Order: sequence, then structure tokens, then C-alpha cells
Amino acid sequence: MSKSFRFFIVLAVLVLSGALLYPSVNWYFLTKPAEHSLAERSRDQIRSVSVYYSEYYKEAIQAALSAPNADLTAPVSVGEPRDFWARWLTLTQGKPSLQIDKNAVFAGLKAQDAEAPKVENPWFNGVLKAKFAEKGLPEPAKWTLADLKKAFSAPEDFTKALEEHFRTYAQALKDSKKSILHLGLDLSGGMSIVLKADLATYAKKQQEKRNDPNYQLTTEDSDEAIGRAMEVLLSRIDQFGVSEPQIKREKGGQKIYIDIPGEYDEEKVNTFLSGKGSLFFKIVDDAKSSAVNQWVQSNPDAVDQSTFVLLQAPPADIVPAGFKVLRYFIKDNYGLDRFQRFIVVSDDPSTILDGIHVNTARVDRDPITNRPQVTFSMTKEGGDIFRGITRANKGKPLAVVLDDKVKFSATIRDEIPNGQVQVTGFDQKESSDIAKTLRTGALEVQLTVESQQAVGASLGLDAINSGVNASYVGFLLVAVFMLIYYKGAGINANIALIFNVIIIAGVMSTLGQTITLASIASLLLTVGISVDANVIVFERIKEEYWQGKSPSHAIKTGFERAFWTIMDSHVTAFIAAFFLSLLSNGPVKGFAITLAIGLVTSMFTALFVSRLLFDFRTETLKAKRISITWRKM
Amino acid sequence: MQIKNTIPFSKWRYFAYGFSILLIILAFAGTALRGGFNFGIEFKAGLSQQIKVNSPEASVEHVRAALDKTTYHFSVQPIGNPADNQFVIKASVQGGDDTNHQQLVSNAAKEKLDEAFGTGVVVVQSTDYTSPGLSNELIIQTFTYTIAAVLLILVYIWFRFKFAFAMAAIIALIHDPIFLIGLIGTFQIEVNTVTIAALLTIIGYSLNDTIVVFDRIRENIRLKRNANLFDIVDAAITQTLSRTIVSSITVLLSTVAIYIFTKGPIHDFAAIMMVGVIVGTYSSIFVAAPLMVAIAGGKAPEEKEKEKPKAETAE
Repeated sequence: MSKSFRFFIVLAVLVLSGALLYPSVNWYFLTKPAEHSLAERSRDQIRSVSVYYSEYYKEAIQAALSAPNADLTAPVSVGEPRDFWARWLTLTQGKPSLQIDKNAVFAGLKAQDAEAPKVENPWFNGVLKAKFAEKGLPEPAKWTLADLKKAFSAPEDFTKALEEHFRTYAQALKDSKKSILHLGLDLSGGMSIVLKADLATYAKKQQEKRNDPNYQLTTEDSDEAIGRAMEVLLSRIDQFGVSEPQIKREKGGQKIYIDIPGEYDEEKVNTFLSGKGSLFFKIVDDAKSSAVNQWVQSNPDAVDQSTFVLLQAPPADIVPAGFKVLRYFIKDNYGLDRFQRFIVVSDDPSTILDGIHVNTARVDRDPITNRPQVTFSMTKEGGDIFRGITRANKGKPLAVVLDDKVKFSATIRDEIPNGQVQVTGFDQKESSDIAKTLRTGALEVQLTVESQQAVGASLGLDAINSGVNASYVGFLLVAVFMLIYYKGAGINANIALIFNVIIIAGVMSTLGQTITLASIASLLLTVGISVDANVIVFERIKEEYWQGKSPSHAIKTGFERAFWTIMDSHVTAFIAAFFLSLLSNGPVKGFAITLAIGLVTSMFTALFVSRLLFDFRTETLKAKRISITWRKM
Repeated sequence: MQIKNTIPFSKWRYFAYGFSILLIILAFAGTALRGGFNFGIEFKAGLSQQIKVNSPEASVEHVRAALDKTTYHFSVQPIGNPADNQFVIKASVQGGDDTNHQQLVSNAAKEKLDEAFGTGVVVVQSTDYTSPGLSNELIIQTFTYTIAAVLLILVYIWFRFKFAFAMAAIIALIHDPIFLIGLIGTFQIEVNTVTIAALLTIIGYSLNDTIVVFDRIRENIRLKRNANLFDIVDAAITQTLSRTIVSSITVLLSTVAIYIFTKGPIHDFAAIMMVGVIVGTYSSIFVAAPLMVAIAGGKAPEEKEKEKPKAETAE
């Protein structure tokens, strides 16, 4: 292989690794911590903030436009989403949107805006540009309030554009997070849970249900049962708090993995895992519901416009004790809940049925009308309670409430005696949503916690610092030692070492590996092994050189003789790393995978990169001697 | 090829064998005295939590007294700076995977700690839970994979070298972790998957050392067919000595950095690594090479004809 070809290969590998690493470097070193926290928020949380963003700047722009002798040539002062979010986070102290006092935060933002001059927002100019292009208007040199007026004829359009603007920004952050090297739980803080479906008990239940003691679960049966458990978990995802959890299922297996990054609420997670019912059937009071909705219309300040939480309780003559105001949501096209109206339900325990009693729910068709209908069945006990409720509340609507949100309501036509219920009057998509919701009432398969690891965020920060310090110091000690001991050749070893670390990180980000404290330790160990490979070569070259060979000859023989030694030692270590990587436990697996990658790249850098550097010095720079020892030659 | 100032390592071989056996016996005696191994949560199913008690009256005794009121047997250990009032509490659970032990045991601990110190005073900083089923699975996995790894390494060395080399390498390879396991028991370092990782790394590292020496022995055998095998071995060890020392120093430097800056399992990992590197280097020089001679019966193992290294033709 010619030298220039080898140089080309080394360069290509380095550039490729660098390119793979760029998103991670950008994320960890050039992106602000506030943005990291935005990327972790759930979609619901992001939507709330984008609504607040649009509200705030709509008000600001409206104020600028409606001011007496308004200056229409003034620049458009819509703040950058990045800047807005950073200020928002400080003003709200990172609280979830439900606990925010909107007016206080808006006042805080206004005070900041009054103090500091407005910043130009080139991104929003892009939005205006698109709007102008859409309308076929010529693009102005400078964007002014007058142009803004031209771009958005209706105020709703403007609000929508602002909302979209913020959401695009948040989504871009979320997307860029996908292609980075992720920090493991022990470094970022968070919780990781492995749940296992208890299929043995499920099979026993099915045997009882079918009255067939010989019934065996088929693969499809268990697959379906676990699939439904997944659905339940996903539907309750919002309960975990502000950050968005990842829920994955083991391919073809019985395990479900839940990862909650960053801050977590241990108690909430525990209630959730214990499978407590969060689905209820409640009786609706139509008259009181419309009264509340009217009252809200005349008192808009009583409601938070983003989350639709009531900020003031309605007067007792509208909602007396024993009744509760709930929000009715339906899913929009983004798969997010959209508020519809308020619904008042009776809080009398005798009229409430826990969703835990739901056995099955599916969508089928009415045999006569051929319209979609939801059919669901209940346990014997649930059926009895339901019979009582339906008998006493004939003609009234019944609401299905999940996590205090009304998912749908339907009128009770008749007493339902046997726990077999049909719900009609919804289209196909609505019906399947309803069936899904009903199935979340009870977990058919019990999920037991197989393993749980939780690390507080502050503990994680400690771990990062210690890991980073250990890497710096370890790396530096080795590098300095090599320089002192091997002088010029030490530089080769150190360059090879730096290459090695870059390539390992590049490969790890391609494989979607997470960085844990164990993989940092493994990386340092790889540094040791990789240096060892260099040492084997150097010692060989030194021996040959001392025997009086020419520099280039000594280098050639040294590398050739060291080749099999390095090969043997790396292969044996690779065997150990490979078997370790098969262990199902997280930290050791990470350790082993990093080590395995490191062994391969260490071969490459020690034999290829270092050789190239030697050849460069002896052949290209025509060096007469090899600088390879601290001793006098 | 000339060999200058060969150090007679083989002379000390009986002393080395005795020393190794003595060390291993001492390490295991220490483990027995300390009441066996300190198994981690992965291998002894249960819950382990690091808690911080935000109360001046917190002490190991207080926490232990509170947890003794649960039906579980909790062990309590202080961790870090005593002023921080941080403790690691551990309890093992038994039974099938059909009950949610995680719920039961963590709720029990929380309830009793809240009772003793007040609600919200005790903060759980980290949680680790392993169910009995998973724990069994892990034990079986660890055993199977460790044995499979050792066997495959044996086959590889056998293939690359001679049987005598492979046997000696494996004995030296078993020597290191056995001694380290005894040491882990003596110092009551937690036996968990991280410890196993450290042991396997040491196996890999020590093997690396052994192979470098063996490689040189093989080369020297080819060059000087009729020389005494012990002389050849001594020469090979001497020739590779500076590499052995430099490599040990670099690995030690990086593990020292890990040892100083980290806490918890990775800290233990670094501690085992540091001792392991030294033991591994010692076993390659004083145990593996002389053993190889003993297994080969004092004569150089027969050379395969096809294995002529390229390096020789280069001269």
C-alpha cells in the first residue's frame, strides 16, 4: 500500500468519525442547558409553552400596533424561541405548565423586555418571508410592523404561526438530540425500569375464564396481551412528570423497558407501576355542565388559556358540593389532547365505577345498521355495580374519565344488566380511540418490576464531573509519560491515542451507544491497551535500531515483528469483551461494548496511524535518526 | 541475536509457586474470616438505595433502628463524608417473580424511614432493584459466559502456540482472578457485575502480558534450537521486560485516575484493576513462563513447520 493511499484512508476514517461526532459536540458544548431541558419535555409540555409563546408575543405586537401614533416602520419584535424559553425557564423555575402563574411570568417577561432592547429574530423573518411568497407579495428589504400586518390578515393566523414557530424550534432540538451520543442514566440522572409480563398468572386467568384447564397461551395470545399492556403504558405517559419517557418492548420478549431521563417523581412512578386505576365511569350533569361553560365564557380570567385549568372555583350555585368540573378533550391530528368544553360530573361514590373492572373492549359493527360500535365487557363485580348505576341514571350521559380528563361521554339508554356494553354513535377512528381508552382501565397482564435503577440528577452531575476529571487526568498522565519515555515516538503514540478516542466516540454514536461511567472507565482502559500496542512496537524498533539497522529498516522490521504479538493480545482481550457484552446487565454491557470497539480501533491506530507517522518522518522528512528513547543512544 | 545481562527469573520459580499458593490461601482465609462474600443486589435479589437524611440526628444506628421495624432485613452502611448523612441501605428479597417485590420493599423502607425522621426528610438519591428471577438469570449468565470466554481463549492460544503454552497461560489466567476473588472477599468489596467486569478485564490484561512473553519465547526457540529452555525463557522475559514495565505503568496511571476521581462501583473497579495489573504482570513473568517449561517437560515444544514468521525472512 502506498503511503499516500494509507494517508488517504486515515484521513477518511478521521473525517467520517468527526462527522459522526459533530452532532454530539454541537449538543454538549454549543447548546445551552436550557435547550437540553426543552428537548426532554413531553410533547404536551412543549405545546403548552408554544401557546404561551404565541400569546405573549401576540399581546406585545398588538400593544405596539394599537399604541397611539404607532410606528408602522418599527421592526418586528418577536423574540427568538431560544431566548424566550431560557427566560421562561428561569421565571417559572422549571415547573410544569400546570403549576405556573401565567400572569406573574408574563409580567416578569415584560419587565425584562422593557429593560433590555429587543433583539432581531431572523428565524421569524423567515416565517414572514414564506407568508409573503405564499401571497405573491414582493419581499421588503427590512421587515416592519406594516409588513407583519400584510402577512397576517387574521389575528388567529398570526397566533398559529407563532405557535408553529416555537414548536418547529422545539422539534428541531428534539430531532438533533436523536443523533447524539446519549449520556447514560448514571450520568444524566433519571430512572430506568425493566418490567416483565407475568404470563404464567395470565395463562391461569385465561384458563379460569375459558373454563378450560388445558388452555395454553399461544405466542400470538401472549404477544397481544403484552402489546395491550404497552398501549396502557403509552397512554399514561404524561403521568411521569415533565420529561418524556421512552417506552420500548423487548423484541418478541416479555420485557418492557421504560427510561425516564432527568428529573423524575419517584412517587408518581410508583403509583403508576402499582397499576392503580386511573380510569373511571362517572355520571354527567348536563344542566350544570352548560351552566359552567356559560360562567366561564363570561369570566375568561377564571381559566388558564393554555391548559384550561380553572384558576377560580365556580360559585357554589353553579357547581354545588358533591360535583366536580372536569375538562373534556379529544385527540387532534397531532395526537395531542384538544380541549372541548367543561363537563360537570357527580362525585358521589355510588355513581362511580372504577375502570379496573373492564375486561375487554373492541370495535365491531352493529349487525343491523353496520355502523362501528365499541363493545366492552366487565367482570362479574363490575357488571353488578354498573347495573345499579345504569338503572338509577337512565337517560343521563356517562363519561369515561382518564387521569381526570373526560375522554368521551355517551347517554345511558337502558339498564345494562350483564356487564356487556355497546357504545354507538361514533365513527371508526373515534370508536377505536374509545376502545383503546377503555382497555387502559385495567392491565390484563400483571407487570412486575424486574429491575429498577434510579439516579438523582445531582448525583448524576457528580458522576459526570468525576468521570470527566478521571478521563482528563488519566489521559494526560499517560500522554506525558509517553512523551518523556519515548520522546519523538511518544508524539506518534499520543496522536494515535487521540485518533483512537475520536474514532471510538464516532463508532459509539453510530451504534447509538450511551456513555456511562462504566464506558468512560472502559475508554481509559482502552487508552492503556492502545498505548501498550504502541509500546510493543516501539520496543521492537528500539531493539532493531540498536542493532545498527537504518531508521526505515528498523521501523519496518519492528512493525512486522510486533504485528502478531499485538494481534494475539487484542484477539484474546476481544474474546473476553465479546462474552461480557452478552451479559444482559446494563453497565457491564456498556463497558464491554466500548472495550470491544476500542480493541479494534486500537489495532488500527497502533499499526496504521502510528506507522504512517513514523514513515512520514523517515521517508518524507528524511530524518536521519529515530527519536524513540529518553536514554542516550 | 545476542542476549545481554539476562536476568535469571526461572531460578526463583519454586519460590514464586510457593508465594502464589500462600497468597491465595491467605486471601481466602481472609474471606472466610470476614464471613464470606459481600454480594451485590444483582446476585442477591433485592433493593439497594442510597439515601440522604436531612436531619442532624441521623446516624447509622437511627436508620438501622427504623429499618428493623420492617419485615425485611436491611443492612445499613454510611457512604462518603459522614457530615452528609448519606447511607446505602440494602435488603434482599425472596420468592417468585409473580409478586411485585420492588413495590413492597421500597414502600416498607419509605414508610418506616418517614415514621422515624418525618415525611420528606429522607431523600432517595439512587435506587437499584433486581428481582429474584433476573438475579438467577444473571448468575447463570455470568458463569456460562465466563467459562465460555476462558475456553475460547484457550482454543485460540492453542491454535496460535503449542499446547504447553496454552495450558500454562490458562493456569496463570486462573491464578490471577482466584487471588483477586479472595482479596475482594477479604476487603468486603461488593461482588456485582462491575466486579466481574474488572476480573474479566484483568484476565484479558494478564493474558496480554503472558502472550507477549510467550511470543518472544517462541521466537527465541526458533533462533536457538539447542539452548536450555530455561535460558531461552529468561532471555525472553528480559527482552520484553521494559515493555512489560512500561505497559503496566501506563495502565496503572489511567486506573489511578479512575480510582481517585470516582466513587462507588467504578471506584472498586479501579481498585481491583490496580492490584490486578500488578498481579497479572507478576504471574506472567514468574508463574506462566516457568510453568510452560514444566508442562513441556523441559524441552522446547516442537515447532510447526509452516509457522515461519515473516520477520525472520526480513533479516
